[in-house]
Amino acid sequence: MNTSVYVDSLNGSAPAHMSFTRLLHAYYTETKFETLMALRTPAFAIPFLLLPPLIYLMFGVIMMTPESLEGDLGPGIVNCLFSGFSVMACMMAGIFGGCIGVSMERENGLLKLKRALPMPPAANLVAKMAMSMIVTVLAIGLIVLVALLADTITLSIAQVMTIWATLAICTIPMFSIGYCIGAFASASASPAWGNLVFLPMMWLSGLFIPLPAFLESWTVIWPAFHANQVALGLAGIEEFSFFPPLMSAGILLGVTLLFGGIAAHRLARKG
Amino acid sequence: MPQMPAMIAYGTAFTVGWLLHRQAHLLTEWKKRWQLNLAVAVALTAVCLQLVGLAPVIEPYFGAAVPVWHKPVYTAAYTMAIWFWTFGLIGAALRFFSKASDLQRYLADSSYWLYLAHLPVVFLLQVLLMNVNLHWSLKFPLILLVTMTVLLLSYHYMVRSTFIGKALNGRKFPRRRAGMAMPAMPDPAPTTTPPNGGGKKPVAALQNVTHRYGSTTALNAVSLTVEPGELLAVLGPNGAGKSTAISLWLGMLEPDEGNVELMGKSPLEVENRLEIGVMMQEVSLAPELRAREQIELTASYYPNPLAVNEVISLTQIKALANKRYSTMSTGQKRQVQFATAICGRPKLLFLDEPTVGLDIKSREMMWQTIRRLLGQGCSIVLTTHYLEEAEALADRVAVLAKGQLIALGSVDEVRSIVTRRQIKCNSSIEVDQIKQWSGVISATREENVIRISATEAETVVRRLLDTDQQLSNLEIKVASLADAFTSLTEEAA
Repeated sequence: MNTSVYVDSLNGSAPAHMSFTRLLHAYYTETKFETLMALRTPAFAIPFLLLPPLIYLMFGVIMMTPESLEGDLGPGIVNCLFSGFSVMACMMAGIFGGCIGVSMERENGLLKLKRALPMPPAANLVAKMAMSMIVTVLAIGLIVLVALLADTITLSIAQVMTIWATLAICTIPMFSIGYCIGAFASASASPAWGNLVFLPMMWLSGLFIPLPAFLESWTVIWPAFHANQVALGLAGIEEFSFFPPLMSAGILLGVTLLFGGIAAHRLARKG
Repeated sequence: MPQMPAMIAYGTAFTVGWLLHRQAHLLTEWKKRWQLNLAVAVALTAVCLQLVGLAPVIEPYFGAAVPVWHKPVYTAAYTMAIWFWTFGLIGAALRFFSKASDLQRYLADSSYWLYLAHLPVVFLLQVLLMNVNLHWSLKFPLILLVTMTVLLLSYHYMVRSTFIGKALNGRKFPRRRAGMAMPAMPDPAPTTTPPNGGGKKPVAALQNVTHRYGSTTALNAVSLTVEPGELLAVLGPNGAGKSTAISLWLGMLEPDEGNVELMGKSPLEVENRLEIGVMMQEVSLAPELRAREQIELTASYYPNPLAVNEVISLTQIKALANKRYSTMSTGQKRQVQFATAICGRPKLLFLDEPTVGLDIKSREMMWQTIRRLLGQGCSIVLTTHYLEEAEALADRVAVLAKGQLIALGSVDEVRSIVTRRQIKCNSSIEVDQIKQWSGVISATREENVIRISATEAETVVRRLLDTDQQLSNLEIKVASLADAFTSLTEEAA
């Protein structure tokens, strides 16, 4: 066995230093394994990757009869549903991707270990966020596939790509909400807390079901509504744009900073 | 649009401040020349006052009545005066207020809060007292007094020990002893002597470190160093402060008092931890990843890690390489954790109970790797409950109990600090009588058998034989490290 593997570094007295490429490599490796871990966890990968496209297939394709196209919302409803279920995919990946991992790592001591190790301080957070975004991209990809195969939507390729990319970025505010939950809740409770946020937000944001009038004005309090508005607004689908996309984007930025800040404070190195 | 002169003045001040803020040597200059700087400041202020009068009247001054040169001269004198006041006052403060004083330190800590929070209080008081008919010489001190009281109380009870204090002072001060409780200044010079006579700097040091969790003192004024190339075993029962010491070295905790160093620097900065490896107790690595992937992930944190295959062969875990962590036994998990601990070519390795749950063969293999790392110059801090592990590996042993360092030395030294022996015999001598003898620490009787713990076994045995001619079954045992450790811990209790 090669016993000298150690010696060369121990004899040098120059202080250790992470080069920029090594730093990038650390972020890349962390992200790679974070994503691999998520995809290897069936309880995470299956619902979050498959649920949104399956529900979209159900409500956006199979149940989309000619009569429903002549409803109050007009034929554009198909595009609205496409965007709505894509937001759902973004919410699931963001919220649960944020809360489950960090609460588990807090509980089993891995977060503590990584902080004792010279892990670049933001690597864990960035990797989890990137993982959530990757899951969003994959899940929306499946929705796009369903929509294209069923030929339901009337959007241009550019519009689809805009919605896809916008919602991938909108994963970040969702992630920060989830991360904040994960910073407080135990590993077993965090999916439940995630659902307590996810379910009301999904139903009350007016993404894909008509809401009673008194609830409609309250949709503005939910980040998912704003994610949808940014996506629809940027894609130029004016019939469903109720809110200036720039303002919605601002609100999402605020949400990210607020929940991210609370989580950061909660997880700050104790000292 | 902001005013251009104000913008320029602010920008200049900001830029100069930014350029100067790390030039610490300038502080000594200011300290030396505080009188000169203040004198210049006073002179320049006098020039300003001469130009505009004691109570300047703005309107006529900027009218046509004054000579042209007034304005530039005034501006220059005014600007210079402000700078010199700043230099002079900082210098004077350094000259007169830089001695170690709890009160001054407390006030200095509170000053940021006073600065941030005083305006609303002062405004409120002014509004409240607006219509009260008092002379200004009474009103002013009154407002000052009330404001300071409110601010200092709020600082003490709402800021100093909370997250606001953390933001303002850089740390939370634990709330204890009312008033001006302040941690003592850390001893600047490490006074430890390296046991291996190397004259090299220790790779890790605790200098007079105290750490408290609320009212519990986990470590009390502990000084401990790890020398290059040595294995320091830290022994102690649960709650002795072992984990606290390790956590301080790993930068996971900050000491309440004293100084913690890793390679001569603060462990709080991530770049100062690039040369350490860590194996912790009660930590589960990512369950979904294989052993090989765990190593690859941890190795990515280091600038110059070993190749994954090198780590696998060095730690002899080839059979585990492609196994998922969640499907491993406890012992296998420890082996993988050990592999991740050494993958970054650490100069200092922290091993927290590394061999718990290992079978004898795996333990021997781990010991072998540890010895090889030591042979190559790696330093190791090892906490263990297996005393034979310390006996087998350690250069020095530190015994912690109740947060105090109660013994430190080689395995032999720690054993000989209590040169106590266990004496066992059959005798009819009264135990109470034996306890009076010098060199006896304890004595107990079970039926006919007497057990004595003694520091001077020879004298005690001689006296036993003299006192009781019938004495039989005499046994003398050297205390094992286990015994030494137990009795040291009990003494500290």
